[in-house]
Amino acid sequence: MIIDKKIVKKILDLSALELTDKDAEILAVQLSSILQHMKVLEGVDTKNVNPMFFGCEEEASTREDKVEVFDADLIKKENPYIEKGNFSVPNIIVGEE
Amino acid sequence: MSFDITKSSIPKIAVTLREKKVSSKELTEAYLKRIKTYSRLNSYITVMENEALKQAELFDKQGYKNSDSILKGIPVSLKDIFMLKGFKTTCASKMLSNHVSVYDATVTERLKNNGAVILGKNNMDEFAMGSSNEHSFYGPVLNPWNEKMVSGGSSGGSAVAVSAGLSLISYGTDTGGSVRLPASYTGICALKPTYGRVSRYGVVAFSSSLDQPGPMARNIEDLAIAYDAVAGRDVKDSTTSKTSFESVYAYLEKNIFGKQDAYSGKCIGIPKDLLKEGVSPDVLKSFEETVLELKKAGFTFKDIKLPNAKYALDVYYIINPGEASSNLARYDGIRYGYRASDFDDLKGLYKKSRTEGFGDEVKRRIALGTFVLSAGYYDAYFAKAAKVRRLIRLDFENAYKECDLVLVPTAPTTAFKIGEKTSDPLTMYLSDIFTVPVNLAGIPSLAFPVSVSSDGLPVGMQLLGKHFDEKTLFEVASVMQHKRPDWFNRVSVE
Repeated sequence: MIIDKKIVKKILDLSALELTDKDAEILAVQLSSILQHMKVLEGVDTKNVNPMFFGCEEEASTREDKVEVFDADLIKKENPYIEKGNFSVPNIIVGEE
Repeated sequence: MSFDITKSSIPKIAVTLREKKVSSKELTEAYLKRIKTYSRLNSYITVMENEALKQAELFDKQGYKNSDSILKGIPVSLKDIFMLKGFKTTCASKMLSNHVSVYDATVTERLKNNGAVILGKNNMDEFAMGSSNEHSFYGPVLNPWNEKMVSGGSSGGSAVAVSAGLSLISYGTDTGGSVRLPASYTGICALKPTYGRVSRYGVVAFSSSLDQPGPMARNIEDLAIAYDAVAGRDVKDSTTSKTSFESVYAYLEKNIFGKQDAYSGKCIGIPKDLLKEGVSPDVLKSFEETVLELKKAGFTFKDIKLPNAKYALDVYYIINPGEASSNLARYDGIRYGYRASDFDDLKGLYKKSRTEGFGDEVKRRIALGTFVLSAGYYDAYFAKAAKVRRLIRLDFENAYKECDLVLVPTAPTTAFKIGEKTSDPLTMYLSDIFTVPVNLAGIPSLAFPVSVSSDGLPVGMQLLGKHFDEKTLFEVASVMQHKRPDWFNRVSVE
């Protein structure tokens, strides 16, 4: 699998990341080399094999759904973008200031 | 103070505390002094000097009863991936460099309940992504055996803290070898427990089906005590197992310690095919020496096959980035974490914050993970890898029909030079060849130090066990420690 400029651009957009053209080129070469190594998996017979997506195969159990209140002062300590108890974000409605 | 902290163990210190021959405050001061002396090793991101001394004084005032936890008053450290309420948890990333924990991880909470004195938070690879601890926003961790060499990663700060006597024990996390590799490179012991044995609640998420917290120590007694303190079901982590947990240390004390000469009867499997390529002569020599020692101790050996283990690296570097790209999508610069200051709109805020907040290796894994999960490639990569992962797990289940545990080196080489592999990620990933099959299968592994190589660097081996059979790994490792005490309890600096 060769990762070209077009694919890198798409991946970076999906990942919400930006890279300079030079760094994107390096990333394309690195990803291509890693994916080339993974080509070996194509030859493994996995017909009728049940995929293993989880580390724990026990049936998950649930716990009581109750509200746990965290210390608001500690949250504010880190985030300077809290205004009147809300997280501030840029304007998301076009044409409105 | 009457004794050398670098030459002691938790059981000995616990007795000394109870005899009032030393105080926790004195111990804590001694460790804090060493942390300052060896600050160039860069093993701590946050040192909690005032809080640690306050805790130690409180415990000293309360006194130490035999019914108290053996960990009461004992100085420990934590990888900077565990939440610790009121203190920073940075995950060695610019993204979280100002993040203050608003709650305790279960590991942290259990240590506090046991009365451990937390000295600070250890350096690590950013978001636990790395095998060398060179990918940290706070700079690389130096190997105390040779400061030009890497410490191993991603829990390199924890390993160096224990190896250099800057903490008695430490806790790291192991997603693909992250407690075992640095343990091997720095000459200490580490346990990667069975997936589901130790709670991941409050551990910054990286690869959720692989991550598992694990203890690090200089000897088997301390490792067992450290494991006991945090293992077992946690309702806050639905992936922790309901399988009952009993104290490993109590078991070893009752049945193994002092009786190691009479212990034998276990069969150890050797996957010879895995050792054919890429293993350095020094590591191979140490492996053969370890086998010889175990044979002398009465263990039998059997050649086993793990036919799909050769695909483990490929499977791992699909599943791990896939899960990481999903887990790290939460860092958007809105609710917590780094927020860029120069952006045009909401999407620009996301992009700028993530681009400026993440380091190169993290970006690489997010990109790779996004690719293997994307439409058109998912079946060929992620779904295929999940199926081969099942085959790897079945390989181990089949192997354990013929043997009780498996012995392999922890790493194919000793620690390498800082900067040697950073420009070639694929070569770096090959360092994990013996560790990642364990995480994919979800089985436990105990890494222990053996001889020192011809270039003066530690070599490590690991025992791989059946799911939830950590006990057997501790038994065999304690026999090893009894036979070769010179391999254990080493301190890398005076």
